[in-house]
Amino acid sequence: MASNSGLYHPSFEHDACGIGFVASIKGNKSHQNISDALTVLENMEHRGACGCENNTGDGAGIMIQTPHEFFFEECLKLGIHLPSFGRYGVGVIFFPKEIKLREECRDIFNRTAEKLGLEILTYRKVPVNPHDIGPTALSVEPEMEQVFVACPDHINNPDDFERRLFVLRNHATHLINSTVKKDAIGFYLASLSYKTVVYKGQLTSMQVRSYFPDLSNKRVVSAFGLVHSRFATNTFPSWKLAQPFRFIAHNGEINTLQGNLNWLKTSEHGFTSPFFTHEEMEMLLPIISGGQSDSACLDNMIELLTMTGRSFTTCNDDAYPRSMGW
Amino acid sequence: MLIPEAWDGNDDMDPVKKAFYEFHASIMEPWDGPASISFTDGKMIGATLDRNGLRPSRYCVTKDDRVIMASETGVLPVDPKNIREKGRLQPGKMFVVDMEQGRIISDDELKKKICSQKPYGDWLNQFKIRLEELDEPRVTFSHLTDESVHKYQKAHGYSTEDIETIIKPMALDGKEPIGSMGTDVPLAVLSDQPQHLSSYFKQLFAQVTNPPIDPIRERMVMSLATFVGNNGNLLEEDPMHCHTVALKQPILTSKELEKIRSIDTGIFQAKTLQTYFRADGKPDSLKKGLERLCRYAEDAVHDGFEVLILCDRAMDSDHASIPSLLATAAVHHHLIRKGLRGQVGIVVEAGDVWEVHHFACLLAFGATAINPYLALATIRNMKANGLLQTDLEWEKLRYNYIKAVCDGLLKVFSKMGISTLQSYQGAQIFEILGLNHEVVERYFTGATSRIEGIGLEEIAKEALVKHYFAFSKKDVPVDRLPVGGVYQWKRKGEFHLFNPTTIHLLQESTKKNDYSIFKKYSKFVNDQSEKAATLRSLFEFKRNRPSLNIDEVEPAESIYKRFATGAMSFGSISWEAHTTLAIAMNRLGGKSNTGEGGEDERRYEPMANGDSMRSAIKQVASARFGVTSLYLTEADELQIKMAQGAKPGEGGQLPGYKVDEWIGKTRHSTPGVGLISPPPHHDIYSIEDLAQLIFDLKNANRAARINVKLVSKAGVGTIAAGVAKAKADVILISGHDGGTGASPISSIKHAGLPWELGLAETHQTLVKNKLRSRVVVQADGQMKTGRDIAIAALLGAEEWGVATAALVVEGCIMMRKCHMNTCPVGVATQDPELRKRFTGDADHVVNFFKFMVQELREIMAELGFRTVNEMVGQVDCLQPRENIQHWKYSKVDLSPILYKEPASLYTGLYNQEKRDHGMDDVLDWKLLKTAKPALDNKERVYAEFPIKNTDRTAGTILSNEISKKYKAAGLPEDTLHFKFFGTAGQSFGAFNTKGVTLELEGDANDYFGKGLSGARLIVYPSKESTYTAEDNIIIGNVAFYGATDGESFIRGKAGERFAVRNSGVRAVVESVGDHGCEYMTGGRIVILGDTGRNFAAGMSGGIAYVYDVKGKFAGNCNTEMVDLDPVSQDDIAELQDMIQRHYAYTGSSVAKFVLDDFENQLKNFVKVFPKDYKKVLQDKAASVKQKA
Repeated sequence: MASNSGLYHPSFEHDACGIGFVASIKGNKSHQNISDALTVLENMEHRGACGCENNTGDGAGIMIQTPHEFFFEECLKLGIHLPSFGRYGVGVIFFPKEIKLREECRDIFNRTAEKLGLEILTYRKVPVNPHDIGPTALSVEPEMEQVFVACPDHINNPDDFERRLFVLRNHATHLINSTVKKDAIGFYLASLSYKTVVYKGQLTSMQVRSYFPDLSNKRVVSAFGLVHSRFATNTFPSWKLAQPFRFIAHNGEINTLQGNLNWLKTSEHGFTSPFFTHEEMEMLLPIISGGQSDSACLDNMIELLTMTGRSFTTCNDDAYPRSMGW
Repeated sequence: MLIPEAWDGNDDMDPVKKAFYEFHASIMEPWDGPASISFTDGKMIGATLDRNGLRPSRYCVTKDDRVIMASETGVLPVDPKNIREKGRLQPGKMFVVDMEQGRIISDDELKKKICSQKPYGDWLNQFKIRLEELDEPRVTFSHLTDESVHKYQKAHGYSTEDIETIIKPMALDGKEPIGSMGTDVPLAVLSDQPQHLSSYFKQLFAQVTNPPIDPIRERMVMSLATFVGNNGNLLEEDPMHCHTVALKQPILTSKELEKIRSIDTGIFQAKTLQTYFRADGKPDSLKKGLERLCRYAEDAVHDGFEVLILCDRAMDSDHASIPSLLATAAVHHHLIRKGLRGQVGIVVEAGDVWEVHHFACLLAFGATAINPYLALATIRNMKANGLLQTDLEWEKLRYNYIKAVCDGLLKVFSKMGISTLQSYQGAQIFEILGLNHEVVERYFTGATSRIEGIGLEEIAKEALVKHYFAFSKKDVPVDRLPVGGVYQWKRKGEFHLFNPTTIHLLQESTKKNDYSIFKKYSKFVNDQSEKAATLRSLFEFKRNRPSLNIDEVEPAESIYKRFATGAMSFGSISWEAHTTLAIAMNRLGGKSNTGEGGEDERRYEPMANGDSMRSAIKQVASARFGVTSLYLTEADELQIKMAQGAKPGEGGQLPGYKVDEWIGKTRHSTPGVGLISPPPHHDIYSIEDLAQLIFDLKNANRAARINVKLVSKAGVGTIAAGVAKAKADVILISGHDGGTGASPISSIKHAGLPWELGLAETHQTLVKNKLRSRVVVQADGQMKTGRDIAIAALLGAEEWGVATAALVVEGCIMMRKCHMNTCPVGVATQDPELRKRFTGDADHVVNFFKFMVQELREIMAELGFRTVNEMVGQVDCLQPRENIQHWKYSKVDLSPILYKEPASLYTGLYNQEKRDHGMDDVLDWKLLKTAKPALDNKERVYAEFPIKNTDRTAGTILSNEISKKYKAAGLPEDTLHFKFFGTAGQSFGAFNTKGVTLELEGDANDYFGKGLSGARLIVYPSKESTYTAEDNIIIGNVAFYGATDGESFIRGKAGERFAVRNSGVRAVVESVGDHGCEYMTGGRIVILGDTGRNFAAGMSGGIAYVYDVKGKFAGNCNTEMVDLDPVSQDDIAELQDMIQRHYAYTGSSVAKFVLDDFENQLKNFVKVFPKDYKKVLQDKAASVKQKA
C-alpha cells in the first residue's frame, strides 16, 4: 500500500470484480472441478483489470478443498507423514521476501502455535512460476509457504480444531504485525483450515493457472473451485487483497463500513462465546484489523459469526446455519 | 444477518421470517451495499445477493450433478444437452449446495429452517417495546411561548430565510424545498456569518463504484426502522436482545419523547443529560462542558440506563447549549472508546435541528432518534399566530414536516447507496471541511477531514455569537432574526460571488466587447481578500521561472479548444440559450454539451451562414433520453454523467407539462408524459460495469473521446484512477457548486466538495498510480475568470468547463427560478413568451471566452509558461496567500492541496499516451466484413457465427457504420440477418439500428439490447437443450435500458429491471425479475409469465401486457403511477400480433398455447397502463373528436 500524502488516502480505495464457482453437488472430488473453475476465471478476464502494466493484474485466486492425497505425498517428500484428513490443518502463508524478517515471523508463528498447544509438522514452499508476472507485482511478491499443523489428540471434533486454528491465525498475525518490523510485503495468512486452501495473488485471471503449478497437478482434487478476479481503483500492488478470502469471494461494496467497524469495535470487548475461552477471545481481538478492504472485513465478520456457532455446519445433525440471514 | 432481505414494510413476507429479521435487526445493523457473495466452508458452497440485486449472479445445474455459478453465464462451455436448469440469484436470496447431503437447498427451505430455530416471534411479542403501546408520559412540557420560541430561535441561529424557505414549505407541502443555479456563497470555514456546525460537514455520495438508490421508486428496499436500547452480546442469542424501543422512524414528536423519558419496564429506563457549557467566553469552557457530558454519560451507562436523552433546553444567560452535533458525536465516540456504546440508545432533544442535513449529520454521528422541539414549536406558533396561510391543522403540519424530514433522510442515505437507517447510524458518511484535527480525532473519530480549520474555541465562539444575540446583556437587543441570504442574494445577507455588481460588469463587458470592463469584473471576483468565498481565493501565484512576453505564450486559438460549456439539457434551458452556446463554442473550436435530453437532428446540419448548432459533446446520463445510434455517431466526445454537482447521487424529474411536442421528440418520449431520471445508471453498479459502458460507447463511435464526469468528494482521486483503468479518455472533476438543474436545496448546499480539492486529489492520485498521462483531466464548477482557469491548470486540469458564467453572459441574472419555468430573461424556460425576452448572442459568449483566455495568457506570461501543457500540475506555482489574519480561515491548511506528487521523468503530468481500447479482435469486424454488400448497396445478407461470453457489445460497430451512412433511417427492415450460436457477452445488440436482425440460439448476459435503436433481437435456447425454456433464465439483468426503437422476442426468463427506461422497444418475454418496466416511458412489452416485485415503478409511458394466470400480478406491481386494466378491444390486435410474431420467431410453446386458446386466455392478461400516458391519450382523443 502506498504511503499517505497529499489528499490521497488509502481508505478511499474501492474494488469490484467477477466471481464464480464450479461445484459437484454430490461432493465428488476431481481435478476437473479445479480446472473448470480456472476456465471460469479466465473467461471473466474483462471483469478484472490490469494495473499500469498489462501483465500486472489487480488480483485473482481460487479456493479449493484440502487435496489430502496430494499433500500427503508432498509431505512425504519432506520426510513428514501427514495424519489422516481432518487431523491436520494447512495454512497458506505470505512471508516477507527478506530472509531475516521471514525467519522472525516464522519464529513467532511457531511459538504462538506452541503456546496454543498446536504442533507444527512442517512447512512446504509453494512452487510458483513467476514468468510473465509484471514487475510491479513482482516487486512485492511474497515468499509463499504452506504450513501443516497437527490436530492435538485431545480434540476429537474437527470444528473445534478449526476454531483453534482460527485463534492461532489471528493471534499470530496480531503478534507479528505488532512486533516485527514491517516491510512492503508483511505477514499474511491467506487461509488456515483443515478443510480449505486458498491460492491467490497479485495476478491477472489468466495468470493463476500458470503461476501455481499445484493447480495443474492431476493429483490436486476438490469437489469445488471458488474463483475471484479483482478490479481495483489503484495500481498499488497488494497480494493479500486478492480474493477469495477464507470464507467468501465478494463482488460488491460495503457503503457503511466505517459505522459497521465502529459498532464492532465498541462491542467486541464484551464478546463471550461458549466456543472460546476468555483468553482465546482476547487473542482473537481485534476481529478486524486496520488497512483491509471492505470485502476482507466482511469475511472476518462472517468468520466470527460462523466460528461462534452461527455456522454453516455444526457438529450435530443440524446442517443449517442458525442465522444465514446474511 | 449481515445482509438481510428487505423485511421492513414487506407485508408478503412470512411472519416467522420477518420475526427472525426483526429480532436480529435489534442486535446488529446490516452491512449495507451492493453485494454478490460466493461463500463456502469447505462442505457447503453457495452464493447470495443483496436486497436490491445490484450485482449479477447466474447459475447452471447440469445433469451430471454439477453447479456452475458466476457473475456471467457462458463462462464455462457446457454441452446444451447436459443442462438441467439455468437460473439467476434473485435479490436478497441465497443458493446453497450441500455437498455432504449431495443436494441443492433452496432459499425458502434454508431460511425457513433458520428462521424457525428459535421462537423469535414470541420473543418479540414478549419483550419488544413498541412506541405506540407505551404509557402516557408522567409529565409533559408545556408548549413554548412565542417569546421563548423567538429567543431560542436566536440562540440556535435561525434566520428568517431558514423559516420561510425551509421550515415553512416542509410543513405546508410535506416536501423538501427545491432550488437551482448551484451555490456561490462562501464555504462555512470562510464565512463571516456564524455557521451551523453541520455546515462544515459535506454529504458523501455514490459514484461509479456503487450505485445510488431511488428511494421513491424503490421504496421497498428502504427502511427507517430503528431500535433504542441495548444491543447486547452479538455472539449469543438471548430473548432480551429485543427488549428495546422499536421506532418506525427516528423523528420523535415532543410527546413521543416524553413517553420514552418516562419508560420504566423494571429493567429499562432513560436518563436525561443536559448539554450546556458556560457562556463565559473562556478558551476551554466548551471543552469542560463536553468532558462533563461524557463523564455523566459514561456513569449513566454504568448505572444501568438503556437510553440517554441529550437535551439542550437548559440554557440561560450564563449557559449556552453545546451544538447538538458536537454533543452527540462526543458522547457517541466517548462511549465507543469505553466499549459501552452498544449498551444504550442516544436520543437527541435539540433546538438547533431543522433541515434534513442537520438530522442526517446527527444520525451519522451516533444519534438513535431526534426530537426537533424548536422546529416543531416554530411551526406550531406560526400556525397559532396565523402566519401560515393554510387550513391545515397543526397536527397535520407537524406530520408533514416529519414526513419531509424522513423522505429527505431516505434521499441522503440513498445517494450513498445505503438503504436502511440502521446501517446509516454511526456510519459517518461525511467529509468534514474546515475543522481541525484535534476536534475531528476526539469527537468525530475516523471521519475524513483534510484541510484543517477551526477548533473548539472557534466553534464555541460561533455558538456564543448566537447565544449573546439571544441573551444580550445590552439594553436594546436587535429583535429580529438575521435575514440569511444563503439561498438567494440579499442586501444584508451572506456574500455571493455572483451579485448584482459582478453580473452587471460581466454582461456589460461581453456585450460591449470591452476587456477593461471584464478586468473590473474579474478583479471583483478574484480579489477576495476582504470576503473569501472559495478555497482558490486563499491562493496566490508564485513565480518559479522568468516571466515571458505575452507573445511567447501559445496563441489564444490553440487554447479555445480546451474549453467546454457545461452540460445543460434542452428542456432545462431554452432552445435559444442552448443553441447560442453551441454556435459560440463551434466558432471558437471549443465544445458545447447536449446535456441529458438528446439533440434535435436538425442541429447536425450546418447553418446557412456556416455556423453550427451541433453540440460536440453528447451526454449519456442515467435516463438515456434520446441516446440513439445516430446521436452517439454524431459526437466528438461522449460524456458519461456519473453525478452532477448540484445533486450528486440523485435523479431528477421533468414534469409532464414541460414535455412539449418538441422536447418529447428530442427525448424520444411522449409529449405530455412526465420523465424521470433514475439516480443510478442502471448499467453502472460498479467499476467493471463502467468499463463495459465505456467499451459500448467506444464501439458506438470509435472516433469519439469517452469522458466520465465525476463530482468532487473525498476519494474522487481513487475513483478517477479506477475510471482511468476502465479506459476513459477524459475525466471531468466537477465542483459541488454548479448546476442549473432543480435540486433539493440541502443537496445544493451540503453535498460534494469544491473542485480544488477533487482536482488536486485526482491529479495527485493519477500521478501516484502512473496513470495521469493516459487521460485528459477536465475541471468545472463556477469557473468565472482567467485566474480560476490558471489555478485549475496548475492543480492538474488541462481542460476546463464553464456553465453558470456563460449563462450570465447570455442574460441570466441569477433569479434562481430555473425549476419554475418563470425565468424572466428567457434562459431557463420553455414558455414561448418568456423565451422572446432572450437577449443572448453567440458573439457575447465568444467575447467572454476570449477575455478568459486573455487573462489566462497574461498569467501564463507572468509565471513563465509558454504552453498550457507545461503548466498542468505545476502546483508549486501556487502558495497560500500571505497575511491571512481571519479568525477562521487562517486556520485552514492548504498544503495537502498544494502537495506535488513526486514523479519520475517518465511519468507524464498531462495526457500524452494514446489509449488502447482493446477493440482489435471484437466480433463486429467479422460482421462488418460480411455486411459490406448491405452497407454499400442495401443488399440482403445472412450469416452465422459462433459467439461466447467474451464477445461483448455485438453489432454496435456495425450499427455505427450504418448510422454514419444512412443516418436515423438506417437500412430497410431485414437487410442484415446474423445468427449466433452460444452465449453472448454483455450488451448484446447495444445501440443496434434499423435494418439489423440478430438471432441468438443460446443465451445472453446483462444489458441485452441496451439503447436499442431500431434493430430486431431474437433469442431462444439451443435446440439441443431439453429443459423447459419458459422456466429458465435466458437473458440477464437490465435489458433494453434506454432503448428507443426496435423489437425483440425472448424465449425464456429475463432478469431484474427488464425494459428499464425503455422508450420505444416492443418486446415479448416469458417472465421477468424485480423492477420490470421501471421508468418506462414508451414502447410495448408483453410478458407471458410471472413478474418480480415492484413492476412498473416510475413507469410513465408505454404499455405492458402481463399474462397473469396465477392472479398474483397485482401484488407485485407498484401502482403509484399505473392503472391495471383489462385488455380493451383496441389492444387485441396489437397483443395478438406480438404473440404471433413471438411464436413465429422463437417457436415458443407458451405463445402457441395462448394463441390456440386466445379468446379464452385474453381474460388472463392485465394491461399495465400509466396514468399519465392514459390521460395524454384521452386528451388527444377528445381534441380529435372536438375537431371532428
